[in-house]
Formats: sequence, C-alpha cells, structure tokens
Amino acid sequence: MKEDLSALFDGEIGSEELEPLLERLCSDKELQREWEMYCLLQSMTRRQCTHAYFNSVLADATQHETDNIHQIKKKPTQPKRFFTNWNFGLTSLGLKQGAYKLAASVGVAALVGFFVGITVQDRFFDTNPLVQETALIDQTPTKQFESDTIASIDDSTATRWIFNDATATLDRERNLNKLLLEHSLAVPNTASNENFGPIAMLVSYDYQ
Amino acid sequence: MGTPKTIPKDASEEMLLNQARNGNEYAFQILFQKHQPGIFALVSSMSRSNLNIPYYEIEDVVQETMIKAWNGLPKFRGDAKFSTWLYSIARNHARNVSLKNKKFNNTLHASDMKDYSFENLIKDETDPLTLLEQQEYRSFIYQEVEKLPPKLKNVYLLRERDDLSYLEISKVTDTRLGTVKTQIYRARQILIKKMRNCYFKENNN
Repeated sequence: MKEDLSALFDGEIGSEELEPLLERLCSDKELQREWEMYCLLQSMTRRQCTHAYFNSVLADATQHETDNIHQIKKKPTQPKRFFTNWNFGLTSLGLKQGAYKLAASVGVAALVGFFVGITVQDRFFDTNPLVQETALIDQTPTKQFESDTIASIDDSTATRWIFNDATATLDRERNLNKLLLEHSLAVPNTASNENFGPIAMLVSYDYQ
Repeated sequence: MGTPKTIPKDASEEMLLNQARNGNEYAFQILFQKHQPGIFALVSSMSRSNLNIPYYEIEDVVQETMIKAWNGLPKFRGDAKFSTWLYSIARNHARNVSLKNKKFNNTLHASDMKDYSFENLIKDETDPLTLLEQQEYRSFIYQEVEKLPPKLKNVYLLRERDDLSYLEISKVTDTRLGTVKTQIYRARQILIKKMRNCYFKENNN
C-alpha cells in the first residue's frame, strides 16, 4: 500500500488503483503521516523546508510512535507479579520449597566474597587509581613533560584512599609544593590567600 | 443552517449528505473534511505528473473544489459514490487551472515570469535565517542521497532532480516499470529514516 502511495505522490498510479487508494488515505492516519513525510522530503529537496515545518511533521510522527510503544509496553503485566512474589520464579523452575533459602545464602556469600576480594586486592596489589592514571599518562606523548614530575611523587603515599594518615598527607603536600615550585606556580602565603593552603594557585593583586 | 449540536458524532456519510443537501453547511464541512486528504493527494499527484499547477496553488485548488462541490450539491444524484463525485470535480478543476496557467505563461515572456513570479516574491521576503535553514536541510538530504545504494540513488535523482516519469526512468536505466516504482519507494523509506534520526539527534542535544 505504501509503495502505491509513493507512486501516487509521483502521479504514477493507475486509474483503477487510484480511487481505492485515495479512499484508504482518507481513513488511514498511518498513510496520511507517510504522505506528510513525502511532502517534507520533497520540500527539503526543493529548498523549501524550514525548521518549524521539519519539527512539526516529525514531532507528530514521533508522538504517534511513542504512543504505540507505550501501548505495547502496557500490555504485559506478568513480570511485575514475578518480582513481587519471587518464590514463584524458583518453584516454576522445578526447585523444591525452601530452595530459595539456599539460593539467597549463595547470593549473600558471593557478595561478601566480592567485597573481601576488593579489600584484599586494594591492600596487596597495586591497583590504586592514581598509579594507574600515572601509567596511562606515561604512555601519552602529549603529556610526557608532566609525567616526569608526577612520577617523582612517592607512589606509596600518593593515594586518595589514606586521607586520615596525617604523615602521608604532609608528604603529599610537600611533593606537590616541590612540583609547583619547580614550575614557578607556587604563590607565597599572604594575607589574602592564607586559608587556601600552600598548593592553591591564585591570581591576585598582591602576587609579586 | 445547521449547527454542530444538531449533528451526532457518529453520523454516517449518508446522513451527513442528506443534511448537507438540506442546506446544512456544517454537515457538508464534516463530509468534505473526511475526503480532504484524498482530494489534496489527487491534486498534488496531478500537479507532479503533468499538470501546470505550482505547489503553492494546490491548496487553492482544494478550496475551490469544496466551493464547487457545495454549489453543485443539488445536482448530485447519488448514482456514484460521493467520493467519486468529489474526485471528479477536483480532477476537472485542476485541469482547468492548469490550462489557465498554461495560457497565462504563454502570454508573458519567460524572463518576465522569472522576475515577477509568486515564487520569487516569496523568496524576496524570506529572511536570511530561513534561507539558511532551507539550504541546510537541502544539503542534508543531498548528503543522504549520496549515501544511498547506487541503483536507488540513480533512480531517485532521475525522479526528483531531473523530474523524469517512471516510464522515462525505466527506459533510461533499462529496468522494469515495477522495479522503478519499488526502488523509488525504497529510497524514500531510507531517507525518511535518516530524517527521523536527524530529528532525534536535534532534539536530544
């Protein structure tokens, strides 16, 4: 039918097919939208299409499609029942009553194992994000000049996970200050910036 | 004179027609609106195939068809379907308008038409932003046409750019008439899909 509509749009439809198609067009909203699309396509080709026209035609078509999708989505209600009564899922798989308890305990064990694994990995393996970032920076040619200075920071203390350790924080600040001084970015502590800490980079009038 | 209240929502075509014959304009309006998409499609289809009707006159032809149908309603005997009768009025009127346009075009020199045609007058009033939009949409669609499979692209351009009929395209490309029809349809479907994607992108950003 749509193929015939395309032919009708070009004025290439046979006289026998013409009238039934026109009658169908009058009653079929889908065909009317298709026709609108052809008109839009033609106006775009002929440099007559404006932003408003483009948006109005497609908004209409999209709205119709969205409505259709919502209607399709509304139909199935079974999954909701599955989740509210989740025992149903297990019994339907042929498991005996109480099997869900076993499944739940296995799930909890898996979760505990997962978190324990992460903790152990953090403590014994070199997976802290800053080290990984540094490694990546080292491989990037454009960042090569920065990688030397970043690499000079002690990796064991340069981690964002040990903020409570006062010594580590002091070491980190010292290293960063060293880095800033090397690149002439440090700002002397003055009355206006004393609360910002030693690593703050400020643009101020009292900067000498 | 009828009012919206006197006509039930689920009124049949026959009932509307009877009321219209008795002078109920509102009933006729409902009746005509039902058939308007078909009449519009018929006239624009005729204008694209061989008639001398510019796109901006199509709506005028549809409106005039409605007036002619209203005036001629007492003559409608009901031998044929109402839609058939309406389509025949639209077809005849479109032909008359086309003949008139042809005559008008012949009396003026082509260069005069170029300067004072309605199309050019519209163009003169168009603001730069609209012109830019139109240009952008045109270049977008031509970019997408370029990406079409070669056969579809060829056939589509012969139809849209060179304004050839299906028969002429089938002769030029040495393909069957039915194949030409299918290829143009498929090209249009692809382009419509691209337009939709473009719309989604524009509205999601």
